[in-house]
Amino acid sequence: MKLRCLSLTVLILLVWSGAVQAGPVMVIPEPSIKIKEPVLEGATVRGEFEVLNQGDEDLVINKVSPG
Amino acid sequence: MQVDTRGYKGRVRKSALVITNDTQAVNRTISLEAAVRPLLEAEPSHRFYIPTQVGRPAKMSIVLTSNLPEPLKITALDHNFGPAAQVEWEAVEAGRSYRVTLSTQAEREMRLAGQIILHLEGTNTETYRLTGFIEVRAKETGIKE
Repeated sequence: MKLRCLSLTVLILLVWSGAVQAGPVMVIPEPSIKIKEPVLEGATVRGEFEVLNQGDEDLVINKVSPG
Repeated sequence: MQVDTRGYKGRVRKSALVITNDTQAVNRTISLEAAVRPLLEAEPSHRFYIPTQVGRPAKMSIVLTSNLPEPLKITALDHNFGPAAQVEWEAVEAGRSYRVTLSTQAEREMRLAGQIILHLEGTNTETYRLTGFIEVRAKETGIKE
């Protein structure tokens, strides 16, 4: 009986944690880019960032706001 | 993400916030960092400072040397110090190095802060600014109270 209760609890927890994980999950593997070589003043520096979705629903980027 | 480095020197770090529909982490910060070398090296400094006394004309020169591989030309020069200050420039090495001189006749007591704007040719940065401060103190009489 005790074992059955424990199994049921574990099952509920697993289902609940699965529900929490559901939806889009944003992952940025390299959120900070450092340019190795010094650049000359006036140059435009560019960096490309990969935004991954490791969730089970579509990830929508609503906005990228400069800070 | 791109950063225009005009007007920056030294380490520059710019950030942006990525806002998504990920309810666990709606915002994530991304950042881009670079070391920016000045377009022109200034010797002895990027800033003029002229302390003097009334009746003692004074001047200071800064030698600007380009870090660009291509020739750089100063085509014109403006300043906002007013008529009590004079600015001159000459080529030390044409296309590479220039001497800029700020001077005052120190005719009256004053404190002037201003900028010298160099108009450039040969770079995507059209102007370059030097700042300065002229301080003309009252004449010392030599009488001690």
